Amino acid sequence: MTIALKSPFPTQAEIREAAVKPILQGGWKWWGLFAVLTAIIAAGVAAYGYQVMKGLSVTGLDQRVSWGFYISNLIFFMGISYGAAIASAVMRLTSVPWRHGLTRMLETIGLAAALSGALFPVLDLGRPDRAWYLIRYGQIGSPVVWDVIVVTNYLVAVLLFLYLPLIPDMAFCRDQLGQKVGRIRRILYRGLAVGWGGRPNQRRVLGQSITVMSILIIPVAAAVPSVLAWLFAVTVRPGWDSTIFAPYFVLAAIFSGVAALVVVLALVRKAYHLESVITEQHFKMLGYGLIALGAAYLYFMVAEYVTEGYKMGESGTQLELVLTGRLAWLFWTFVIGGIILPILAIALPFTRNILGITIAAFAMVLGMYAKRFLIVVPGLAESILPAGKLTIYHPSWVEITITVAAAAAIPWFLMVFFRLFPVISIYEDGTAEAAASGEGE
Amino acid sequence: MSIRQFAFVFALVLAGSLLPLVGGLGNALAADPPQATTLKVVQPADQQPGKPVLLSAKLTNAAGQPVGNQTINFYIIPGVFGPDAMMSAGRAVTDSTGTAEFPYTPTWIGDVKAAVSFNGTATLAGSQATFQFKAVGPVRGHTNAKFGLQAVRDWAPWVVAALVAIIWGTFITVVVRVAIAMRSGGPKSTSPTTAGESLAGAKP
Repeated sequence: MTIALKSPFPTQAEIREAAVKPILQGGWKWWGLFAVLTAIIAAGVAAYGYQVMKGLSVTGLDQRVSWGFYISNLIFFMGISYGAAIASAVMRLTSVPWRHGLTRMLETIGLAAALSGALFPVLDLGRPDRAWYLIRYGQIGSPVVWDVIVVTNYLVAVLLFLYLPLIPDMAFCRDQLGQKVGRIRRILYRGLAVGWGGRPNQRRVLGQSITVMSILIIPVAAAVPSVLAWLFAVTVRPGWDSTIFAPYFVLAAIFSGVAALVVVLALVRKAYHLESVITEQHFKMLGYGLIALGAAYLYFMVAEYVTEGYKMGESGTQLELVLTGRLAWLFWTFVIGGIILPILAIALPFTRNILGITIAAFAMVLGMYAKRFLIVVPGLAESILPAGKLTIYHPSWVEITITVAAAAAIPWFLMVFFRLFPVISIYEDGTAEAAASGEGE
Repeated sequence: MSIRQFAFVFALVLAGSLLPLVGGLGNALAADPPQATTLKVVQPADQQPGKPVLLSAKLTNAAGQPVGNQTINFYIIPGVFGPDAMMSAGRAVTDSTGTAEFPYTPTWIGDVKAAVSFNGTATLAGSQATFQFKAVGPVRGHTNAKFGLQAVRDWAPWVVAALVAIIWGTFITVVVRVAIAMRSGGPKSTSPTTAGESLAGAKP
């Protein structure tokens, strides 16, 4: 006698139904949230317009601390982006069986956060036309130019990585949604489906292409935090003189990317009633991943500070500022509230549920933002001249408004994207099941 | 000890104490004043690439005779720490012709201000002179390594270009292959999970 056990993961039919639900589901709640987020983004655009008119003096930046909130945001948002992209690629390449509900979301977060984060270097330049100077007068020996190169390549890579698995789903929408959607969306689906018919040759080429992009996106995505890390590490500033910055940044990216995924997953699950597709098991698996990533990040951070602190002489102002000085409250809040307590919350059985893991992940996301600020600002605040004094940096309302707007732009993008495209990859789920049942190629 | 004996001993000690002072004063009054000296710099040629500059100065007395066996200090005036602040470059002893030479390799390219100084002795007064020469490089501390980090810097643009070419080559190959496959003919799939049109019964 066999006993049929209910799988903790969704069936193919459940996934297919859930995937298109957000496309057909609008309602006043959707429009209300869309309006609020649009208003926040508009406020950010207005603040940026004010900055362009008045110059960077309206920010808290000065001659010393020239990388404040803006560059912290760049590292944070780009970190979420390539962390999400790498996580998706690794899940695909290792054929993680429960990835189907997640890959599309990870890739969309990857694109949304990258578009949001890539704007910040331009904002930090003051005048947007100066971005052209990076290309016109760029020196290949400068890490700033390396950054322009890797971010550009990454944006193209993440776009392709998102688009390829979307092609069969576009065909599904083209053929199945019919008159349920408007004319513009029908044209969009037809165009983006690029003639997909599920033919063996198409499936073979698409499968190979997705695999190639999954492999390629890992080094391309890892190059972005590495170059960002070198942007700091090759600059002569206190606290940045480190050889582990590149892997440290890559790890931070994956950590914050997976944490952001958990938060988005919880919101999407709640908003679109995807309880049958995104189960508690998904959260638990990601939660275990967060424990490992958080512990690894803690290890890297201790290794970094012990090395630096052991050699610290009288000029240890930067480290003192972070560990015991004016920014100590932020650092210890990050360590306790952003890593240790969230890890415990996921590890302990009575808080290891969807709500507990989501709150823990949200605390990790906030904590990682604080950590990026603690990397960027204290290193610049300390004078490298013997008689120099510590500079105090406070972000202005302009920087705060733009930061909030950039953060709002990510859920805004996700809302619009999932209103147009399936939130879950229908094709890949089908391919996996077909392969499992012997239908595959 | 009587008071007379005590007074005698005290007078002897006092006299003994004063004797060196008296003698010193006498010597001072009797000695000639230190003889004036002159330091004349031999203007160095511009620095040859990779070679040190030979700084040279000749010490002469008031009669114009060379003064040998005296220490001459050589200084560089970088100008960074003030117009008169000098950095010691080294020292050399004058030979029988009164000439002291010191090889110096500049640490920057351009005009280099320098000074030589003789501190003087009991019989010779001190003297100093300043001069200037041009360093044409390469300079110590910034020499180009034949192999090492400099070579990495030389290769970096080509390595970056090669990596970007590989990445874009992959992008273009993927896009072209997918585009060709999408336009290819043949029967459409009947699998309900891979072809949207056969999912007629699905309830989205």
